[in-house]
Amino acid sequence: MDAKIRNSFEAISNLIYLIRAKTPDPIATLIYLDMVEAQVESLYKYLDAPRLDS
Amino acid sequence: MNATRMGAGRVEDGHLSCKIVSRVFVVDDEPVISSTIGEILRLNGFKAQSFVSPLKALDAAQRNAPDLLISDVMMPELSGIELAIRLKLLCPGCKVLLFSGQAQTYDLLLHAREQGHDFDLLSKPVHPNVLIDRVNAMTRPQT
Repeated sequence: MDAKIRNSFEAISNLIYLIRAKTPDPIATLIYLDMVEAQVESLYKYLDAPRLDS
Repeated sequence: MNATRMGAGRVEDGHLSCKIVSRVFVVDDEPVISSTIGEILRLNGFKAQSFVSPLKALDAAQRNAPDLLISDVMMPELSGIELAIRLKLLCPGCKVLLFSGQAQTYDLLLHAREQGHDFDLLSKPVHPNVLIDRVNAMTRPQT
């Protein structure tokens, strides 16, 4: 697993932890959900992108 | 009152703990990582400050020394190992926990160990519960 994927995995784990912890606060929950979506979107782009060193 | 498992300085078993809240610096050049770890630590009762720049963390440590540094290793300005060595010179009592997902880290750690600097390392991705357990263990007062 390369560094970018490890970082995204960790960011998503952290955001899920925060979503669970902040459930009573819908605005915070939505902000963290948007951040999860951005991480997933960035992973999709990263995994589809051709490697520069290939 | 229900028993609540929290970090230093919080309510434990229904009694207000008199422990001093640990000050933690979190350093990662990925803003989402540094900010979310900082928030998770604050939710667990720590006084956490997040940095994307290791140099800014060093600067802040001169004004207010942390009890614990949690840092990524591979960063553009300064490696986490170099940051830890410089921080230990400024505040010798500060504990250090490094985390990394890159293979080059092991060579850097080995080099630092040969020079007498030995730091704890967690491999990325680190689950928040694992991180909290480790931070609680590292900041628990010695009895």
